[in-house]
Formats: sequence, C-alpha cells, structure tokens
Amino acid sequence: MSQFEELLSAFEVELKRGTLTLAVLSLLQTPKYGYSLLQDLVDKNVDIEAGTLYPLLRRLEKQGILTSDWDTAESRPRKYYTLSPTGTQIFEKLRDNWRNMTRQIDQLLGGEQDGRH
Amino acid sequence: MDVIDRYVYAVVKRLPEKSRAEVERELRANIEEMLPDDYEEADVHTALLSLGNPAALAEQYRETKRYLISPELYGNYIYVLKIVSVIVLIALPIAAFAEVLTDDRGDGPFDLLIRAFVQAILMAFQAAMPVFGIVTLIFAFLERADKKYSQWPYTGKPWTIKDLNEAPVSDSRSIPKSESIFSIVIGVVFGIAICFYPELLAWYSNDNGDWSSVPIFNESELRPYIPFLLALTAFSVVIATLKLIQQKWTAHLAWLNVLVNVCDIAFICTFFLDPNLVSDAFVTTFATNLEADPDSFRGIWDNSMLGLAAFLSIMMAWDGVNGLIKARKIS
Repeated sequence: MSQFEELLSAFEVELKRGTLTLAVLSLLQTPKYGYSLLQDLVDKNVDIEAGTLYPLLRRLEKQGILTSDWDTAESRPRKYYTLSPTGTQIFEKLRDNWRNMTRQIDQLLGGEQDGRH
Repeated sequence: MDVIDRYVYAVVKRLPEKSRAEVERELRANIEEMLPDDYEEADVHTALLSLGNPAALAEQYRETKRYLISPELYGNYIYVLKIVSVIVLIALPIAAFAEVLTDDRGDGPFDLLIRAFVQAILMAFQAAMPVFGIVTLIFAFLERADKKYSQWPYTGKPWTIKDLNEAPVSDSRSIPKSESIFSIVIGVVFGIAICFYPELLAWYSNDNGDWSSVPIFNESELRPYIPFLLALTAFSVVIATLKLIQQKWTAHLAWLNVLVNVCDIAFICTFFLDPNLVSDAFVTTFATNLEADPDSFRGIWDNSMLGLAAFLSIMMAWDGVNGLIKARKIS
C-alpha cells in the first residue's frame, strides 16, 4: 500500500468508527441475530466485516445498550439482539446528534465548494 | 479436530476465563449461520476467512485494552529509562574495573582490560536488567494507581496556570541535567566503594609484575562512619534526583540542598580530621613515593587533611548559598 493510501485509510477508519455503532443501533429496533444483521447491513451498503460486527454486538450488550435472547427452538440456535430501553434513548440522542453534525459539516463542505466556484 | 473447533479455540484461548463459554457459543452459532445447508470444507474456509485472524477477533472481543504502561505515561517512562541507562553506562566500567582489580590474578594490563570489559558486560546483565525491571515495575504500578496523581502536575487536582511556573525553564535558575547525573554517579560509586570495598581505595604499586596495594583507611576505624556515610549518600542521591526532576532551583529544593550540605560539612570535618582513620602504612608509602621523610610527613599529611576539609566545606557552603540565591530569583 502506498503512503497516500495508508494515510487515507487511517482517516477513513477514524471517520467510520462512530457511524458503525449508529448503523447497528438503527437496525436493532426490531430483534435480529448476528448473521441476519450482517446481511441487512451489507444490503444497505454498510461496509462492515463479521469480525467487527460480532464483538461490537457483545460489547454493546455488556454496556447495557442491547439485550439478547437465545432462540433454541429452531435447528440452529440463534442469539437475537435488540435495543434495551436505555439503548433506545441513547440511539435517539445519537440520531439527533448525527443530524445536527451532518448539517454543520454539510454547511462547511458546501461553503468550501461555493467559494471555489 | 474440526477446523471450526480449531478456529473457535484459537479465539477463546486469548480471552478471560469467564467470557469464554458465551463467546464460544455465539461464535459457533454465527459461523453456522454463515454456512449453507449442505456445506463443504471450502465453505467453512470461506466463512472462517471472512471472520478474519482469530487473534485480531479475540482482541475485538476484549473489553479492556491491555498494557503495562499506557501511552500517557510512556514519555516519562522512556525519559527515566534514558537517565538510568546513562548512570549505569558510566558506573558499570568503574564497577567492573574495581571488581577486576580486587580479584587480582597477577595479569598484565592488557589482560586486566579484557577482563574488565568482560566483567562490564556480565554486570550489564546482572545489574542493569534488574534496574530496568524496577523502573518498569514502578511505572506499571503508577499506571494502576490513580491517574490524577501519576499525571503532571501530580497534585491530584486539576492543573492551574500556577503549575506552569513549576515547569522547567531554561534560565539562570535551571540546574543542568549533567550536574545531577554526575552527582548521582559519584555518590553511588564512592558510597559503595568506601562502605563495601574500603580495601579498593588504596595505593597501588607494581613491582616486577606483582601488584600490591596499601589501603588508605584503617578498616576498624572506618566502620563506625559507614552508617552515616550510607545515609548521607542516600540523602544526596535523593536530592540529586529531585534536581533532575525539577531541573530548576525552588525555595524547597534550595533549603533541602542546604540541609544536605550542612550534614556533609559536619561529616567531612569529623571524617577528615580523625587522626586514626588513615592508616600509617598508607602515609608511609605516600611519603616514600614522594621521597619525603615519613616521620615529619605525618604532620604535613594532617595539615593537608585540614586544608582539604576546609576547602570541601567552603565548596559545600558556597553550593548551599548558590542554590538559595538562584531560588530567590523566582519571586
């Protein structure tokens, strides 16, 4: 990897870090198991890997943002995750923050473009 | 053993005992989901490869970052290690040479040098490694202690503008690092030499390849001084370390410095003016080598000791006053 690409990917990772959590929380308003959540995210063009998603779910559960439930009725046991009441509150706050933030950033980026033209 | 079992084991063995069972169950369920109904070995490989390096996955599953010394403390850690290495690098050759001299096997100067060199390397492992280990342990402990005390300004309170005054600034009040390091090395080397190897401080002569030495001190006379000497050495090293940390004179430091110098002067006066301390054999050897009359030389010797004690006391007194003057410049 060239130095430029390395630098770019480091910034991209930093930029993405918080948004992944937000994307995951947005989809867990209804219960989902790990693999189905991964498929949903991929369908919506969210760039996430299984090795990142599964530990993230577990961490969020430990923090009390998600609750989980094993479904052993089917032939394959599945662990369903969903937002806890606290998780719902946090998700709503984060969503508002995100909207404000993107508006501000859009203004900044838009302003830059106007200046050039 | 199944390749899935091996993968799962490679992940969970890196995790704390209590979270292993749950992570294993979750991981197996997730891997199974990724496989089609009639899966083959190749499907398993694809699934496992998409989960990535098991070590990296385990790292993601860990809740807390693990380190001995955090990036915040790392700067200070390296700084202290550097200073300690400089001290060790200066003290080691001296110690190695002393060790080789006491263990005289009648070798020539070249053999002595080689043996001193080998001894220095041996000592580097014997002495330097524990020193490095101790510094690391102290910092690992600080890491686990309350952050507010282990981070500048070390007061346990939020920093204030006033704390900035305490930071080292380069002006007439600053104490050069070299000065503090020099006094630590000299203090440690001579403290250890006088206390534990007094026979090393001697007049060395070489008669036809045979080394002989006449010790300076009467060992029995020296013994009562040793506890004081050790205490003073320790005290001086503590002060020098404080100087190294603060790097400038403050009122506290200057007064501590005066205190250690007063103790030093008291010690020097008793030590140098004790007529029985220096062995007659040494004075005689000294006189013979200067081609002076041994009987009258004892008088000259005693006067020189008086002069030396006076000179050192004046130096100490000046050092104390100098510190006070420099500290006064702050306000």
